[in-house]
Amino acid sequence: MSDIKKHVNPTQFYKRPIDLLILTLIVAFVLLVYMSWDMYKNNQESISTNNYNLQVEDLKGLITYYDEVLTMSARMASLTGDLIWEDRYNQFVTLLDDALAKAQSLAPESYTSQLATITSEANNKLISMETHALAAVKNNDTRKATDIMFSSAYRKQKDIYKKGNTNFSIPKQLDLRLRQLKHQIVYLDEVLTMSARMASLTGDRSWEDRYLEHVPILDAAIHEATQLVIDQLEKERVSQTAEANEKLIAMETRAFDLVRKKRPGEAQQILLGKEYEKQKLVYSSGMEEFSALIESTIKDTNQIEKIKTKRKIVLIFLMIMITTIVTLLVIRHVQLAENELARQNRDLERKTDELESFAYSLSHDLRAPLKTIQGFSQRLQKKLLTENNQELSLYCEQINKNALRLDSLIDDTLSITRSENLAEDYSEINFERILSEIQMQFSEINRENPVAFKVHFKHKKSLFSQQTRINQIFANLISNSIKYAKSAEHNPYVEIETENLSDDMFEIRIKDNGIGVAKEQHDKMFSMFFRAQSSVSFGSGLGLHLVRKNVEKLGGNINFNSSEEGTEFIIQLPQTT
Amino acid sequence: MDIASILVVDDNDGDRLLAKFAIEDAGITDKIFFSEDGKHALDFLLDYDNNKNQEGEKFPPTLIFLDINMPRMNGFEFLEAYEALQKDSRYQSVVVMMLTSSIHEKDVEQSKAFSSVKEWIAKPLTEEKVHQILAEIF
Repeated sequence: MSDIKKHVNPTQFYKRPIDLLILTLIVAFVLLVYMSWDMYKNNQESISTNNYNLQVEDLKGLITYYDEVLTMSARMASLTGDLIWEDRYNQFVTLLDDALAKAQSLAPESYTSQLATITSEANNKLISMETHALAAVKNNDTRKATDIMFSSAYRKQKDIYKKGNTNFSIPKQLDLRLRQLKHQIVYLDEVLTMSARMASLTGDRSWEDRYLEHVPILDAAIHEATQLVIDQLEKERVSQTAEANEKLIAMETRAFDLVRKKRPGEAQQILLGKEYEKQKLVYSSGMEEFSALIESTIKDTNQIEKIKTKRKIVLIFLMIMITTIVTLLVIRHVQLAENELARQNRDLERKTDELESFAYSLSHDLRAPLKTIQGFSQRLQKKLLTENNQELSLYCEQINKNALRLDSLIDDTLSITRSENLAEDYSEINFERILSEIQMQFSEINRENPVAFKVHFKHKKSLFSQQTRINQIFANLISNSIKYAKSAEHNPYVEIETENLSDDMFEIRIKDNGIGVAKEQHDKMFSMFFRAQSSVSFGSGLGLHLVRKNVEKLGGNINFNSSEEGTEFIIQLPQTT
Repeated sequence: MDIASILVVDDNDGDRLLAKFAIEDAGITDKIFFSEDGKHALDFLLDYDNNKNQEGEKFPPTLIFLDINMPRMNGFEFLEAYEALQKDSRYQSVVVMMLTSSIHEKDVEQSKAFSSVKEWIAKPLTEEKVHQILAEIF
């Protein structure tokens, strides 16, 4: 019996796996947030790079255009003498200055170096020449103007300026820039070497100009590349190469000098000499290493990106796996818990059935001899009454009363266990039959002080309900009316009425003119073992409790009012069908 | 209505005694048979010829008061056997079930399956109850 008490607490099955799942989901969520932020960051970077590139391209285009406008405006002014061209010139000068300023601000720091200075110097020189030309035009000296505007000096500055301009479109991506620089360095190195050689062979001084143009560009390129890979450079190697470079430049400058002095042969000697060869070798190998370093930096950057992405993918995959596994775990646990629950429920049902059949047979076994006792004691009492033996008659009365009390107690106890579990089918209730059976059943206890039955079945639509419960309700309420009836001169009665309140509500009213129940006792009426009066002999005190239980099980409600004039119970039951 | 005889089937001697007193007090018949269980009752009924010779008009009994809980063969087992005899026009006794508990038990439901059962009465048997039964049946 005691193991009926052990009931399953389902939550203890669920707890741990669910906590684990919650934890996993939190981690997955955090990871998701991080990934989103990472994606957003990458996106922002690429957008900004894109914007930068667009701006740069835009400025490049504008600068080229404005420059052309300025040159041509000044040239037109010098050719036609028309000052309208000066107005046009002035208009565009400010635009060009603005664009150049913007370009400077965009370019990375490593660029704001020699190259930038050279280009803006060239720009200033050009503007100065143009301004002079325009002034000359104002003074009606178009000859002077054209001389300036079409001079070789002007063209030279224009070339320098053009070169500097193309070079400022610098990509922000490190690897792209490094490649650019690498090729630039190689190209410039060739230009310088060959210019020097050409100068020594041809004696043409224009090669020196070319040389001088390109030296600062090469310096700038090397300087920038160095800055970009500075952590990986060996100081020893760097100074070696720099030294070699200086020596080469010195030798090349000397060669140019000699060419100017119209001694090309000597110049050739220097440039084809062993010393030049040696320094070239040192410089070349240094530059090769540098080049290789640039390449490896590019590779490393790519590698790092690849690894980062791989890691992210692995992390995502792992999280999905773990979440899936944990979810499956939880599901399995839930299933196990449900199975266990079902098993325990079946167990409980079985035990309840056992209990009920036990209670039933117990009640039967207890009552059988009780009935016999009652039978004989009733006969005894009759005999004693006729013989006028008061004393023995009294003893008999007590035997009767208590046997009756015991009987109803057993009956009610059994009823309680049944009312919990009654799974009777709903059927049409035959009230007449119930009443006639009850009258017969209570004929004994209703003999002494008979209570009249007043029956008014006013319902049109039948009640479909559980027969046994309805029986119990009537039996208990009517037996109460009989027990608590007043004496004969009050004409005690119990009135039973039925009615259809509405389409889905059935009402039963059982009213008597008995002694009623005092107001203070009203809230205890339906509690277990409550008995209003001990003078009323029989009655276990379970009657009203049972009535209410039955009403509740049928989905209805019960109310009462009681005074010295009598008691009325009103029961409302839902009507199905 | 003239009741030729009554058969009381109950394993408890006290209950048999009470039934005897109740029937005698009611004065409805002067011949009462007793059986202590279903088997005895069935054997008694089946021994037709002997009993007919002995009792004449008073056999078989008009009315059978039948208890349910009895050893060897209980009330329902008796009813099953007795039901089979119903085809025989000689066996037309009216059976009244004697119930320990209130009459709204499943015993009533179960016994309704048998055509021979016409009434139910709660123990203990009294003179008034006997009169009531007769009024119901006849």
